[in-house]
Amino acid sequence: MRQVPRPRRPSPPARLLFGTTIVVGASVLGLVAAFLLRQESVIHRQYELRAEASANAIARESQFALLVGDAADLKRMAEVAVAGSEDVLYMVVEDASGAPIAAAHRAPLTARTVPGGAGGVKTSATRFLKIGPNSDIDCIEASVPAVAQPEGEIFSRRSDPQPALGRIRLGMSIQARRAMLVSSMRYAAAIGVLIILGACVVPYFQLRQKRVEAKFREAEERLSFLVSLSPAVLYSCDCRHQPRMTFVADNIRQVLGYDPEEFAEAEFFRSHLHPEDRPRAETMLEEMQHSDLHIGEYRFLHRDGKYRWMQDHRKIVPGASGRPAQLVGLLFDVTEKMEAAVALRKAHQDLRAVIDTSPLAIVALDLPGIVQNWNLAAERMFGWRGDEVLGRPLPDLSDGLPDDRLRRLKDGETLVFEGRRKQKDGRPLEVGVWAAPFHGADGAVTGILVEYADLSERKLLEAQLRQAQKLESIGQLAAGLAHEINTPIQYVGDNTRFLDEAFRELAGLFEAYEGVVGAASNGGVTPDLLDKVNQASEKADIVYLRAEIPKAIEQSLEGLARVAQIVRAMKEFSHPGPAELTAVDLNRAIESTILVCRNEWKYVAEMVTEFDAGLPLVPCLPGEMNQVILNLVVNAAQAISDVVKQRGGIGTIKVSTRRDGGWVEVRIQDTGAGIPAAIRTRVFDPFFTTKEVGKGTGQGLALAHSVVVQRHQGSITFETEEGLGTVFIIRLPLTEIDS
Amino acid sequence: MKRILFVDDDSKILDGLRRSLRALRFEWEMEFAVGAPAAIAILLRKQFDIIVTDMRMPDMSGADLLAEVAHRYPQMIRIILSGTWNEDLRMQAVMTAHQYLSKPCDPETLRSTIGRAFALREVRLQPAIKEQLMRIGSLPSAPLVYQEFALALRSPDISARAIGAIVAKDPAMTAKVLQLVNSAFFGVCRRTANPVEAVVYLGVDVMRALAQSASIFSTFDGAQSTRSLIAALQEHSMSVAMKAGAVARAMNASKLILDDAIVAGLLHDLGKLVLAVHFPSEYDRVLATASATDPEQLDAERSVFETTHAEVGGYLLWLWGVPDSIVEALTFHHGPAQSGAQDFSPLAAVRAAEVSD
Repeated sequence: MRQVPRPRRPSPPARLLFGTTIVVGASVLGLVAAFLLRQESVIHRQYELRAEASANAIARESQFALLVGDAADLKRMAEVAVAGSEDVLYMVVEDASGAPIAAAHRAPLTARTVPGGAGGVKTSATRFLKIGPNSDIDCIEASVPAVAQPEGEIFSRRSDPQPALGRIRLGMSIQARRAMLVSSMRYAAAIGVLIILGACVVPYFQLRQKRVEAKFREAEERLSFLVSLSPAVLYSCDCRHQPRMTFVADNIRQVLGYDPEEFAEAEFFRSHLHPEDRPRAETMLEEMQHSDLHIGEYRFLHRDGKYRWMQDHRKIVPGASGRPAQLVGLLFDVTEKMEAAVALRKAHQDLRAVIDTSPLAIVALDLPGIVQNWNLAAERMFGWRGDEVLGRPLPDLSDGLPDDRLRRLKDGETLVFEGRRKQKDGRPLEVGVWAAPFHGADGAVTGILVEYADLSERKLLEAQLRQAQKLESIGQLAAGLAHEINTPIQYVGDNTRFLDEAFRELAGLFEAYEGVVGAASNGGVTPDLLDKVNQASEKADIVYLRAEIPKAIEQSLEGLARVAQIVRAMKEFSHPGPAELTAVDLNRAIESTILVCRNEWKYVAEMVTEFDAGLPLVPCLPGEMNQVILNLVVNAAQAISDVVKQRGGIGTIKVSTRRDGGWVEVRIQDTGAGIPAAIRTRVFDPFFTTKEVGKGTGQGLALAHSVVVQRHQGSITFETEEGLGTVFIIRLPLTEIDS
Repeated sequence: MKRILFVDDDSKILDGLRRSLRALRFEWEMEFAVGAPAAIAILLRKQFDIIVTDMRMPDMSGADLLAEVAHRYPQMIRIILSGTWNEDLRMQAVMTAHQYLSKPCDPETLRSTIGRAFALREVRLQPAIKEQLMRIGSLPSAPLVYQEFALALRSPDISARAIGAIVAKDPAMTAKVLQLVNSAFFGVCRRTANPVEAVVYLGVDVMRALAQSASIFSTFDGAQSTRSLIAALQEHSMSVAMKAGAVARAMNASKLILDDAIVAGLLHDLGKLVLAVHFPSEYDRVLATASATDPEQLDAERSVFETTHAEVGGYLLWLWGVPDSIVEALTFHHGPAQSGAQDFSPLAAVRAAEVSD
């Protein structure tokens, strides 16, 4: 199972076979060459034998032994022999003494050839055959170039052993002989070449083999190094029948913690797939039939029990039949990548969720003003759905951003402002706008981010807060006001009770007086009657009553006036008043307010007012301005109270008004401890308070600031000196009010 | 002559009072002081039975003045007559004033309250006991009930009714809340004998403030014997209260009488609590000399204190402005013949309950 991939190269047995073949081949060739080198004699013998055979055949046919045959027979025999072989030029039969007895030759033999011709053919020694006068062969004197003369002996077949009867000489054409030689030489040369070749080629191949092996080794080392370093796991799988892993690279250990051998088990791969990914992984396998290289991802259970994301690059390798036989693949651990991708996707979704969850309408525009982002709040706020505006110019939310703003944004400025925008159905919407350019990687402005906050609720809340603050102060004032009212009610009640009783006492006196008056009209006032009057008058304690009744009435009237004044001031103070600027007698309004909160200051401070009698009517929101004055007076009283608690005595609150050109100035001065330098900048901050919990909401001065500055276009400032006190200065513009 | 001192920073108030009370000028000797310093000056040269003071005054508050008076002239009955709605100020009066009147106060209420207070002059008690009763701001609760009470207040969403149910188990706390509600300490005065109603009327916030303010509600941390006595008294009181309630129900008594009967049952031995806590050694003698023939130790109390716990309890509740019917049930719960009551009354219910206990 475990194999390391190698480049193709003969296996050791193949190499052995190869070498053996070369050696054996060379030996065979050598033997052949050696054999051929003896060919000349062989050829000679052949021809001799052939001639002999012919003679024998002649002898056998003629029933005569060559020895006993006549010359004609021999000649005929010779002719047959010559005719039988093209290479045989002539045949001479000699007797034992060497005298020719028969001869035959080919006709062309007569042609004289010029020895030493241009062919450079060396003419060998020529023998002239001299056949006796009985012989037909009289002239084979023609010079025969380079005739070989194989010789044979003729034996009589009659006797055995027979002495040689004669000889047969065969004249062979030099060409034939040469051809024979050349052929022999060729063979020899071929064999020689083969031997040389063999001798050269074998080492060459061996060298080459070594080089190739070295290269293979190098490649193999490189490859195994690569594999060892590679994060990818190579595997192959037999997919002909039941898919089965046939090879898994060693680095699977590092990647998934398993040994390669474990993959041999049939279900191992499948059972370690993430259940959710199994169908997909199997579908992938089916798709593979159609596609060359396939890349898929699935989760695989690591030995540590956690799933890893594997990316599988695989390819079908067809078998001999052309059908898929093997699957080769590379596995990459892409867990980090996948997790990063998941994290990125999640981050993107989260970001989207954040943007969509924001109560702010978030709108992103590119420089030409095309909407790139339009979140849910924007849909809610303006009524356009995302798909209606995305990729299109910003719908007309208003009269459009003024060019000036757009230019400032493009210049990199961030803008914050409040304004009114239009919804899809045309309804107006109060919004707070925050707009800022956003920058590309090169720092250039690439677009504009605009965030809208729906302020309608805030505006409503602000209005409600103002009202609530007023109610709160009314509530706080109620206790003080109750005291202010309860006191006069108490003594008015007591005085009235007294008057009731006094009148009843006086009734007796009146009766006595009536008696005297009646008697006087009758002309007789008796001392008895006068005595009665005196008694009644004494009983009624008339001296006391005459002194006390007017006082009781006066104090009662005072008390009633006081109650009426307080109730009126309360009404003036708490009346919501018009929502628009109204001409207000500021002096009177301030006076009422001071009275309403009298209980807040009267135990700690003396109130001094310096009202400018010539003050014109001031354009004011009366209810809100009363609230401001109240907050400042109560603050002043509390500042003084802190000092009085420590040092005793009583402080002073001075409230003054005066006209200053086109402005009216209200000063509220206290003799408190002053505002410490550290908190001076925070005095008007909402919820900033130095009072203990439950004593103040920290809204008083913030509200005063907002009312004076935003709603009256005035200003509110303070001057303070630690240990001496603080003066708050309100300045309101005296702009003309249309009557 | 009955002597009374009125104190207010507003002379018009004093003028009004002088005029409206002029009819009583032959019965009451009245002095009027403008502000606390003037009152203190007058007190230096003259003795008074009652002081009626405003609460909010520039130099010295009514509560401070009353604290001074309680210290220097403990036999004086201390009453507030104030129009302030300031709760902090009112809280200060809880321990120093016996009763509290709200401005505007109609002359009848003023006269009857003062007249009722003058009646205490006629009660014969040893001066030491009288002074002690005048000084008492509150009485110690039974330890277990107090713990339950303190724990309940710590729960942020406890209801006033639930707190009232705890208060209604304890004579000391019940007596105090009845004083606060039947007088106008926290708003307009409201005649009630039902401690749960009283707590609901005061509200959880005021109860918390009262509990936080030192020693209004407390438990006794002296001798162990006294502590067990307080616990035993509380258990006995609870038992009598339930029986008195059962008796009243059996008699088909009205809601008013039923409430009175229950609370009178709970408070009937309040005097024992006072004597045991403030005169421990004398009270030990009472316990030691009480014989089997004297189960309610009345004779023993008479011999030691020249009075009985019934009279002591009645005096305190009277002083605190608790409704007469309860005071009557307390004072006479050992001698019905002394009361002129003919119909079924809380007194009868307590008598019946006590006898059966």
